[in-house]
Amino acid sequence: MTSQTECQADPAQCNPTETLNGAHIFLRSLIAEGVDTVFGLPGGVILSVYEALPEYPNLKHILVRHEQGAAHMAEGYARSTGKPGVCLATSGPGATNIVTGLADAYYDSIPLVAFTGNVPTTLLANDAFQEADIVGITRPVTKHNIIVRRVEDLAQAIKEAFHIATTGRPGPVLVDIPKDVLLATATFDYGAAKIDLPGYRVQETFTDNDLEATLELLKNARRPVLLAGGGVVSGGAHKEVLAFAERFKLPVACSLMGLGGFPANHPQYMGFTGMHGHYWANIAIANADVLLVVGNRLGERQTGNPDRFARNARIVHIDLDPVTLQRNVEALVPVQGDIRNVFGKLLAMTEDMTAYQDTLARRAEWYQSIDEWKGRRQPEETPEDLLTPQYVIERIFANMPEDGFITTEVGQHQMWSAQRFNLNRPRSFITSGGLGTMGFGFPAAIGVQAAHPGKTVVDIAGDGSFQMTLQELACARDYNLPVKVAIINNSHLGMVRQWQDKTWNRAPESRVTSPDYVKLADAYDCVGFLVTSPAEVDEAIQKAFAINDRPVIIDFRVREKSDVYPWVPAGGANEEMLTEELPSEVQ
Amino acid sequence: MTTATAIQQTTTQQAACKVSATVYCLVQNRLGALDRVLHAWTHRGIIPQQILSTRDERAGTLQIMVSCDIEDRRALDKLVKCLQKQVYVMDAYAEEDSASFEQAETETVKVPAKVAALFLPAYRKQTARS
Repeated sequence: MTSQTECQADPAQCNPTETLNGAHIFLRSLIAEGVDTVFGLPGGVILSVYEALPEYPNLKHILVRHEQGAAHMAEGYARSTGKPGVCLATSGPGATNIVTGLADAYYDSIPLVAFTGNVPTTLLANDAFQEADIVGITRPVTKHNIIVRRVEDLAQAIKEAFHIATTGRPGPVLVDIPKDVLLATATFDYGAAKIDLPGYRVQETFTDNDLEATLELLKNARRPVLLAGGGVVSGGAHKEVLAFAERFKLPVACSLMGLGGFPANHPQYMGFTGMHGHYWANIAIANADVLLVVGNRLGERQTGNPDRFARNARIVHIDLDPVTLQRNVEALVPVQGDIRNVFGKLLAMTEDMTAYQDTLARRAEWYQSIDEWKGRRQPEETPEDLLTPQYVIERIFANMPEDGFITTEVGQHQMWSAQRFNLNRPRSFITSGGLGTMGFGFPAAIGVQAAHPGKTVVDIAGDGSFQMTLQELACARDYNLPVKVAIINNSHLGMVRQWQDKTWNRAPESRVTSPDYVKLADAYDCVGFLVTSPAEVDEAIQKAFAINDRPVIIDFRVREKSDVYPWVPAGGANEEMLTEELPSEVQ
Repeated sequence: MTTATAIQQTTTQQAACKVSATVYCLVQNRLGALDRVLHAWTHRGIIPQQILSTRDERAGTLQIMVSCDIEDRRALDKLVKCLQKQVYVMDAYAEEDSASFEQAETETVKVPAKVAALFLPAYRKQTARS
């Protein structure tokens, strides 16, 4: 029999016909899939897995304090690496605790494979202790899920789970394994496990006509814009999109999930668009005559009122997911296909740009208009002695190394961060876009740090959000993961307060208290700093960045009532965004 | 909410529907496949008028026919696309046909064997087309 260590070192050395119990089959299958890190928490029905785990020393297990943390850490790992994240939870409450993470991954198209234990098959549907129908519960928030009822089916289920999670539009897959399946034995031969999914086809239906129509629209465009979404990042298409945008001199805007999909320091980069997007980027889209929407589902936070989104533009919508096309906004040219492949072909078709000289000649005028809109937007004036959240976030980005990572929680600080994002690589901005999960950022940062030792990882947090998952400080400390948590502490659920104030002129139940974060950090054997004035900001950030053996919290006590602008009120058109000064600019 | 109110609301919702359609779906007959298909209606707040399913043991498939009223053609198209995306779904398409819906409703309850007779020709027609 091959030893576990030998098998792990080289999966090819695994005896292909070994008889193993379900727990070993599970762990061997993870190794065969190239998994190096699992985020989990043990419990009754998965103890056999934990019993076997020490025999696989290269399979790193990160012990969390709450299963929601495990799911978000796995997301952080996946979002920052592009590889599937893996989490493990026990049955019942352990399983239900990962639901938020699964939903978060689902709405942001993150490849996540979650494993849960369940009560023995003989007890299923008996209301047994810690039994939950987790497959039923998670059906709407997973790309796929399955309960494995026979140990003989376990390896195939795991192989299919990784295949589904990582191909096509990525997404979370849950595999539920009853206790007796983990204890029963079967012949393990991962290579022989076949993917049996005849209905699951990752198809591309775009044709040359679609691409020619796209180029024809661009040939005559006077005011084109490219809107890059999260699909550019997850599809690994950033290089092709950059090359195409440069070839056609297209101004580029990014959605929240698309940030990093186009270099932020590029002269053609306009910024972030949508409900709290940059003024000039939203106005440019409103005035565009051709809009290339790439890997973006055009959700309502992106479009505002969809009937009035980019109403002057003929829209080309490029996406791998056919469900996304023609759903919220009608496109003149829907292009269903892999973004990298589509742009690869568009680039090949436009190596000779002779036919496009007219449109390129008009570009200077278009950029001039955009620059004028930028020029009209003045930054807020801030008293020098007042610590504003915007200033703190600007300074965090100013101090970030180019190879660092930003995660965020959800709320005002998230939008200010998106507006100030200045990194130039995909997968460097990790945020909860679709579900908007407060409490996401800190565990996600731990997952990012676990995947990228030695890199600077900063969670820009709100005081409300951080208190939802701060127990993972213990986890980060256990593994010496030096995540930096920058708490933009305004003593409020800031975005809630903003909406309440502006809608009803009062804000009940939006004020939140916090613990003393410096003492909290100390209690967890971490490091804490308190910052109350602008003069202290840079020094605190630099001191925090220099610490590399444990988590650091910086408690920035900022002005309590700052609002995020621009702001498109729900149901409004993006060009009608509220700013301090500006009227609609639609021509 | 009283029962009378509930009935009244249901009636109103149905009256607002503009398209009667039958959705045909061929799925790999694995545990959970049917649940995922039916969830597409639940998630949209649509109560099906009739659901018929037939197992093909040899092929390992389940043929599902769901009749329902739906908001409009675009909503129907989106429903079908959502079904096509499911991992176990091998094929899905819809036909707008309130007449066949009424016929199916009557016959299925009485004679389950006619389920296949109603369903399979339509499926064969579609696959031949594609």
